Amino acid sequence: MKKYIFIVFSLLTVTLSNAQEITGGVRGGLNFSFFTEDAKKDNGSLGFEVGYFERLEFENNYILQAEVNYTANSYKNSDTKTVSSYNYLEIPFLVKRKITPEFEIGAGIKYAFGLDGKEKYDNDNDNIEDQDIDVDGGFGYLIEGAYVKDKLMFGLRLNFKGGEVLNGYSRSSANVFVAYTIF
Amino acid sequence: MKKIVSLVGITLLMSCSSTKMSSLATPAYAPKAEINAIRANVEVDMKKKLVGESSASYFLFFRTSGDNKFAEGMSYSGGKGKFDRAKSSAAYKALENSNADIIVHPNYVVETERFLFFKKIHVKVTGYAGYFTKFYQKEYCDDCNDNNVELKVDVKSKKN
Repeated sequence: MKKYIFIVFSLLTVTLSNAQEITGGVRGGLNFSFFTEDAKKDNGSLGFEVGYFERLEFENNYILQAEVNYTANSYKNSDTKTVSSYNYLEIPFLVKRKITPEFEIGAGIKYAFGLDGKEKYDNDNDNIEDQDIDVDGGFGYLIEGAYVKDKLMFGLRLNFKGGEVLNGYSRSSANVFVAYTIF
Repeated sequence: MKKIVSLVGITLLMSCSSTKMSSLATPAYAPKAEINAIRANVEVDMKKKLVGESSASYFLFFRTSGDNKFAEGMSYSGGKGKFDRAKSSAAYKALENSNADIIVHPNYVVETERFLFFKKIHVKVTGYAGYFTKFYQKEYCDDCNDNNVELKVDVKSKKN
């Protein structure tokens, strides 16, 4: 926790400069979950995320970005043939820097609130059994690269940690996203 | 372990000592100096209008950008904290390089943009340039009211 607070303060210090404008809009994308532990048995699968973002651009080419995202992830265990799906409400804060007028890279932290989860078990008789599972929230960090053209933004994001699923594994994912600036 | 802790505890309790001594004290009356009000004559240049603008942005509770020069000693109507700071900064900009001593009849226009995570405050101040021409101080009169009219009347001397 202390580590994350320190990172936030460090990032804020970097950005202090005259602000130009505040913009915001909606974003959405696809994610692919993966796990660093037990990777052979737990295979990630495709999920999605939708959300809202705001960004504050500074004169020194730094950008402070905050978001609220609803994220749905899942993975399948090849041994037990169990598909675990889980939903989170994530609040990431990023500090980004414009490398060129259209390309920016950044890093940040997020807090993920665990909403709900389900485990589907496909037994030999082809009967699918559902079971609710607990999903835990937690802090995580992320890195991002994005291409911005007018009101559109395309990018790739790597999420690390930020909540645990049933088996206690750290949740990570790779996202491709598109964002549209409304104001 | 418990033995060691209790031993240390007992030792600490036993080694505590305090000394109290009563004494009488009479508080001395020490009046503070009160300075008579200093008044000033101000010449207002109605042709010279002062204008200053300042912006600040906030991320949650953190101030992420804004001016860092402020005019001290200004009093503002309404708004505290974030707004006062922006007003003070706008006042500084209005006075900066104007050679004026004060802003006479300042009008503040405060615009606030609120978002979910961010907040932007923009303040514009306009007023007239004021220049001090004279400072003076009214002499204190023991027996006078606020309008400097003598209150104490010597009845005996009047009879004679």
